[in-house]
Amino acid sequence: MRILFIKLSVLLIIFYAVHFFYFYNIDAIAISSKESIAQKKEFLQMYSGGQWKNGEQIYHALCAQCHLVSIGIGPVLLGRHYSPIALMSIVRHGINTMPTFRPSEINDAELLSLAQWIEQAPASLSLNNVNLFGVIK
Amino acid sequence: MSVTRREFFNKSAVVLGSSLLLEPLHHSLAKEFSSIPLAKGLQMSHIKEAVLEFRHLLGNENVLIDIQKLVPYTKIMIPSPDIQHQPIGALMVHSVRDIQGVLKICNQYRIPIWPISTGRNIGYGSAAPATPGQLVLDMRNMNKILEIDSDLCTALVEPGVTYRQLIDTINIQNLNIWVSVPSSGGLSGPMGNILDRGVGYNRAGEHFANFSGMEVILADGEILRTGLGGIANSTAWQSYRWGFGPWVDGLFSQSNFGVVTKIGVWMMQKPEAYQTFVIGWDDLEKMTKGIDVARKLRMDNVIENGVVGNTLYSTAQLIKRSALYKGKDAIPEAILAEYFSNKKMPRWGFVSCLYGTKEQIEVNLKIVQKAFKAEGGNFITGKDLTGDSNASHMERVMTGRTDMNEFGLYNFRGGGGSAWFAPAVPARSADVRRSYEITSKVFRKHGFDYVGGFLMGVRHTEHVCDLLFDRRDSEEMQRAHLCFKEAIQLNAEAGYGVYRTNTGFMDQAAETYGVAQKMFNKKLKRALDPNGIIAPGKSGIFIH
Repeated sequence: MRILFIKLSVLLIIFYAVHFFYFYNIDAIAISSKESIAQKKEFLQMYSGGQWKNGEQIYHALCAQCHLVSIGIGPVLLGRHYSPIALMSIVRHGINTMPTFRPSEINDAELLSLAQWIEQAPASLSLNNVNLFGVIK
Repeated sequence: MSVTRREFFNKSAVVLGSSLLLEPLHHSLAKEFSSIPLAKGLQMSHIKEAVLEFRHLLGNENVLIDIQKLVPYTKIMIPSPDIQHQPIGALMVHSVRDIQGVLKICNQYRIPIWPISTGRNIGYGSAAPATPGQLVLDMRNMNKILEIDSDLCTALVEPGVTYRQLIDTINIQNLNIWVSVPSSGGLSGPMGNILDRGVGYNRAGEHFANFSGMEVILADGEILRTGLGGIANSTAWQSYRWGFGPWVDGLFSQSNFGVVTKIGVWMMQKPEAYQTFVIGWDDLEKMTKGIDVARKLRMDNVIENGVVGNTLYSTAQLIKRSALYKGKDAIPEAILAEYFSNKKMPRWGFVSCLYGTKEQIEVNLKIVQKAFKAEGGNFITGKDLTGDSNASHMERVMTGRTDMNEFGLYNFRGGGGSAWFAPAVPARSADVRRSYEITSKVFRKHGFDYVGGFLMGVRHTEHVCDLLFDRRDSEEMQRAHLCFKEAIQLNAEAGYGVYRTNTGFMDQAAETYGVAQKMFNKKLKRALDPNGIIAPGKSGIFIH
């Protein structure tokens, strides 16, 4: 009787594990049997809120696309010592052409880091282009 | 009195910054919702209970209901009042399981949700819902690139993956892959653009023709993997689109029948060589004849992409309108003619990029030059394009790179108003001419400039033009609203339906496609989402 109870328990655990795996934990299912290039962490770039390395990376990956001297869609930000609180407000609220950025894109702590970096960065960085990895050439 | 940009920035801090950063940690729910319109039939008591459950499921930090925190979800550029697109909250989800939990709660309390991927459908409604009182389901944090197949040039991505993220991930590995990007590629992402049937610029530029396989969470929480995704350990989910039996992927495009959480993206194999060329035409007649030439070349696969643009479109990216004309009405034709004549610029331009081996390009370039010669256009290629910022931009987006140059358009008139008007038109001179004449006439009548062009498909073009207006000026916004409405109506009457539209005009666009389609969509909606919780109003689809 005891053995039967153990067997039934094991079966029940397996059933729930399979059910959980297939119906609730779909992200964990292997996408492909072969090794995925993108899943090698050293290659994968992650650009969402909570994933940024620092304010400088955010500037180069997002802001510089419009705010470099050579592009001129948005005003040059570096070397002007804008107040961080003003910058943070603009990022969240947008102005005219400038879109808003949500906390899912840049969280509050990252936004503070970005604004402080912009406040202190020299104007000369606005003259440089950046490569695709956000590293200054 | 003029205010310097720095003064403006710093003054903004006083008004906005303190509330952004120093908001009280606790508000009463009644206060939080007091100024937000609720969805029809929704009761405050239900929302309060649901919010508690959302917080339990996702954590307090991922449930945004404070009106200040919602501001980034509400900035729209379209000619439609903000209040009509005001969400009641936003939920930041991180997994499929989160979404299943959210859907369960939404079904229980009949709360509508508006799913967004990167939320960058700029000029089409951005991140805000089609109707007020919805919760935005923000999937930006689901941003894993699950796979890149370097042999087949496919990627499997989540909703929050951006084009920039995908391109950077590809380039850091030196893979021979070019991603097709839309003009917003610096900020937007492939899932949202594919699902809204957006268009890019390279060989894979027709984005809804260049994907394979979706994972969809249905309203009841069930997970559906389309096509070969139904096969356990599928090997071809991202390479063979059709699977077995009915192909249902189209049901989840521009619709509200489910929440797409994974999609297979097709990209272009980097060729050995490429060659960009531009043709300039001085008048409409030559441009429309050029469309016929381009279509024949496109149907023969001599060219694989192409954009015909009114020169004001490229010029508007670089200068302010006030440099051309200071009136509030449309810029008079005589002024445009004089400006472009003085600048020795054509009125229309066609840009394309040849791909292949050097030998293929040499042959195809000769074919292209010969074909266009009859129309008398000014053919430019190679070194002659050096220094042309617009040509440089087009070459970048046609060769797997991205930039935001086209956003320069938004500074042309200023004021943050933009609505992309986009009818699908046969790739034939008579049709292109007719749609252009109807549209430009409507724009001019309402005081707006025609800033647009035609993206070459094979048998069709996407006639895409940007209605630019000052959103701060209520009279101008009202004119823009009437203009857009009339443009949809007159193009439809001439047989040109919009292939995509913004959240303020989805009902009208759906009406132009007839009762049968509308009723069919409603039947599907009722069957798949009986409580109507997923994105009511998307493409004019409701359960009632």
